[in-house]
Amino acid sequence: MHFIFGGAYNGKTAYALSQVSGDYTVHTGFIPTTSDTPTIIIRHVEQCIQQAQDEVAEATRIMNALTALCTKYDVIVIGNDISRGVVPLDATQRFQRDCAGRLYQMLVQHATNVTQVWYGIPQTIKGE
Amino acid sequence: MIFISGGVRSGKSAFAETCAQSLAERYQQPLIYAATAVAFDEEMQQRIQRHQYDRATHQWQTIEVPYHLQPLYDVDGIILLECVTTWVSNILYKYPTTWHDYIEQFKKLCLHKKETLIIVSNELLHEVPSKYAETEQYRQILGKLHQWLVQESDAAYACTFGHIHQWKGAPTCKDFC
Repeated sequence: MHFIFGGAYNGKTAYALSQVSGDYTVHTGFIPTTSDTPTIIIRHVEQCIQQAQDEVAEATRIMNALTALCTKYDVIVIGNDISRGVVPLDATQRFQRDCAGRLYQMLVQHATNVTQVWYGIPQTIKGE
Repeated sequence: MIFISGGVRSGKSAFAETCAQSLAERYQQPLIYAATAVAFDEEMQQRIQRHQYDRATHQWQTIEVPYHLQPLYDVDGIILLECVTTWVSNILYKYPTTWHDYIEQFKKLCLHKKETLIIVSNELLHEVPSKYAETEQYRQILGKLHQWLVQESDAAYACTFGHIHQWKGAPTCKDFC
């Protein structure tokens, strides 16, 4: 698994595409269970977060779905870094933000490669 | 061109001023401050005054460029333009239909003044997306412009609470850190 994160509109997807050779499919805010292509790119993984009682349990649910996919396919997960702004007034957004943080910690731990993208420049956080 | 960004109170202005002053000294060039802010209320006036106070240790010529950038073509010196976020919001409010032309003019100026330009901007793309379409459009315009600026720059830095991280650039640029 390759996890790519960074701010919005920073060129994360363009970077992901530059790393792929061969057929791929792109999903936005959605994790499939099967694929016709060897590589799967999941954009906006933070949009997969649903409102739940517990942020860690919700992050684990998403992480399990991604881990299952990794046994059969090359998976590139792209997440928006939404962790640095003003605390949102809306409780739904607060939950999403907190849960995204938990999920990204799990992704950084499990992924073979982790890349941060800053205005088109990739920085390797983990892996080669 | 040197691109410097950071969050609020990250030390980006102080770092940019140091960069400009070192370059001005090295190449025996005057210092020019390209100010984009408009003092539309008392708080903004105070923010501007604080920046002016910080620059008082050196001789700066200030040129106000809230919308039109033409005046910058006529000056020679090390130009510190601060900051992209206020300039983009200025033109979006004043020219809601033709802002795109202004962005193109901005890029043209950057390429023309590539040798002597230092650009400061803000980081505001690391939060939950706005529910307001206008704000989200503003973020998208800034993100794309920042990508272009970093691509065209000789050196690019991100400031975090006074810590300077160089994302791009020749080793000589580290002289400023």
